[in-house]
Amino acid sequence: MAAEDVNPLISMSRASDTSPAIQLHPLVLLTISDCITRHQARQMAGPVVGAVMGQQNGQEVTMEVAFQAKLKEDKSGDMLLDDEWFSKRVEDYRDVYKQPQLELVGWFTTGPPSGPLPFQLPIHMRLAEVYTETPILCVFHPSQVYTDATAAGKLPLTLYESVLENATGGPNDKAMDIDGAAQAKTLKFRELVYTVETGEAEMIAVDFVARGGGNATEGAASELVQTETKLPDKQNKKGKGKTKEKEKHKEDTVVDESNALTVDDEELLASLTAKSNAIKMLSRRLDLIRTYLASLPPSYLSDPSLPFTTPSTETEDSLPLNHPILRSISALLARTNILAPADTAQFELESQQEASDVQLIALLASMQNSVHVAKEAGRKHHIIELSKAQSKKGILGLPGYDTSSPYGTAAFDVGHSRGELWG
Amino acid sequence: MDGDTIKKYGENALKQWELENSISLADPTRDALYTYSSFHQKSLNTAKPWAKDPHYFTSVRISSVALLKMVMHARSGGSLEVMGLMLGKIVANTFIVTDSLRLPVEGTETRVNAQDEANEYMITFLERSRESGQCENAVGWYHSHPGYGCWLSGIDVGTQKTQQLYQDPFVAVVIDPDRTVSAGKVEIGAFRTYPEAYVKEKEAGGSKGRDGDGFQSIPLGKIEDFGAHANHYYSLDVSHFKSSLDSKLLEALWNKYWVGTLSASPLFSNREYGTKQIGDLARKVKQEDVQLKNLRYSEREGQLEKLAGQALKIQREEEMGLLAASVKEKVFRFQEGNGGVVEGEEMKS
Repeated sequence: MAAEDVNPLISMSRASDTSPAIQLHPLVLLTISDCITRHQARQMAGPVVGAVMGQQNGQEVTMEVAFQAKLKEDKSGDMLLDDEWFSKRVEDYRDVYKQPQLELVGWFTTGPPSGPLPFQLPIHMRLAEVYTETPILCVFHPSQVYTDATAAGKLPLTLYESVLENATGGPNDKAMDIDGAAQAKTLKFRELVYTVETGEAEMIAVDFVARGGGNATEGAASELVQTETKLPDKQNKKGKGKTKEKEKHKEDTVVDESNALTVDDEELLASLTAKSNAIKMLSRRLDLIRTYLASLPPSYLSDPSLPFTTPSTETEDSLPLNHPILRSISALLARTNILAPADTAQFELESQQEASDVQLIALLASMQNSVHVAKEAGRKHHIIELSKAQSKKGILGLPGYDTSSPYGTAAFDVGHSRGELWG
Repeated sequence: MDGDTIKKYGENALKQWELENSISLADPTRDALYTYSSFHQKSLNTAKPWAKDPHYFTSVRISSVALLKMVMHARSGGSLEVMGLMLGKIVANTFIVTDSLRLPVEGTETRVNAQDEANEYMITFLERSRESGQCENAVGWYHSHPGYGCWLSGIDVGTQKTQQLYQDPFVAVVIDPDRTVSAGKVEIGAFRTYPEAYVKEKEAGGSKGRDGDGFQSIPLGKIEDFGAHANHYYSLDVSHFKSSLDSKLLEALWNKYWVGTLSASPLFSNREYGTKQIGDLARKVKQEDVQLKNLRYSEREGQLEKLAGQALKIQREEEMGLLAASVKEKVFRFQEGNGGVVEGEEMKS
């Protein structure tokens, strides 16, 4: 056996029906990433180790929250958890995560993709002793972060469960269990399959962070200022006359208004970008399917001159026939027909109703705005007329005026209150 | 497996592990906010530039982990208000929030002494964090307003004022989990109160407007509380940040839920929220109408503008929803006899 290549701690058996089905929440992943970034940015010594809490209902395990743990070295140089600190910390978390009550379900650390390492065993065994019978070990692989696999969607994280196996060989070993003699069992790790689950609010928060978030540079405040000054150009290009007026106002107003427009424009940009990314992704996946189909050997279905048999897979440029894949592709195509709305006319009608609802709201909003603008115009008009009237009468800048003046009542008609003007 | 191979593997393993851990995942420039210099923080604390200027702090930056934790905590409380603490540091006029923790208290809006109960928990938790090497100080507190918007109620203002007296620099953050879910984006606000003297000054100076709190649609039931204390605080800009490693992982995660983005129907899912918003706006317009007829009412300045702004906000949200729907239609439109696969071809070309 190529002993150096194979991690002796990895079990030879595969995940069985008794293995837990794990649901990982993004918060755990982000917490691990946060701990690592902090660890490296602050140049702290020692390994990154922490605990993961979640719910365990029989075979279903969820991993919802994580925190970094304090380590200590014991006399033999082993890396161990600081028990007292750790147990109190677990209690802290149990206190605040009551509905639903979370328990310790595992722990995380960093490591190579080949699997858990011997010096990580003591912590694992300690957890198994004290907290939960089957702690799950999450190993984060920094070496895999910048690979294409991660960019394509495979997370650089492997989850292991521990199993006790006979010292010599795996469960396929035919050695008989001799009654009365204790077999030496060693701890081995088995890789687990996991899925990423999110709750509603979690999904929105993760989406928000993923889309918007600036990077963590310290000078970010000054960057914000820069984008604000760049804005008037952008807006001029769009030809909005409003912004040109606003630029003539006081500086703070310009900043506030530019901010308001930026945020909405940014949101629009962000959501459009997200949609276009999603569409590109869809297109890539469809392309993949087409390329696969195109690279299969030609069959009698497309070319009637070919013999009526299963085509050979020995020709160049063709991939071997994989029936399960072909079956799923055909199922996919069959499903797309079902997904079409049953009654097209009704669907059209409803979509148009939705669209007209939205337009109605737009109309109402612009009406609201018009009322506001009209009022402002009236108020300004009133002020101007008043000062004209006063200069005519020869009185300048005196507060208080005669409500019986025709200008005054005209102002009320336009809708502005007297107290407003002189208050 | 004999002892030798295990030993050899052990050495290799150690080397492998060291190699793994030597991979630099934190970029010194792009992840600068994750560093912490206690010296720097202490010197800031002695200088106290915020003591002279009530408007000193202008913004808050929250890390992705802190934001996620806070939103999930707010959501998990359901219709009960929840509360927690934020850890971090100060950089110039900005609060940097790097982590958050939950506090074991609930229903905080109606009780003044909620923070006292959580005190013991807070102190021991922070002590333990310091022991494990996480030495950030508490820089603020957060709580949730399920369904009624991000602002400070009378009790909140009182709590924050006390905090600013004894624990400055401190910031108050409010999250609305219900609106977050309905609107599909995180509803969060950050505030600082003015000291008593400053508030009196402001009121004496006769300025009646608030300091640009943005457009809030607050249910009529709570608006009294809102209006009564609105002069006592101002809001800070909230933005968030993530590390380069976070970005990489989020990219990977994105690949798992791009389907959701494309297939989302915001017009349907947010129908209730949109209707509520419109209803609220309509009530406010009616109120405004009645009050304008009362000529002696002198505080109506700017109200119409606010209403116009609110209408605009609703319009934008609806239009985004319509955008999603029309994108879906363009991409997936079913022609007679063709399937979705035809669309793939069109997209390619």
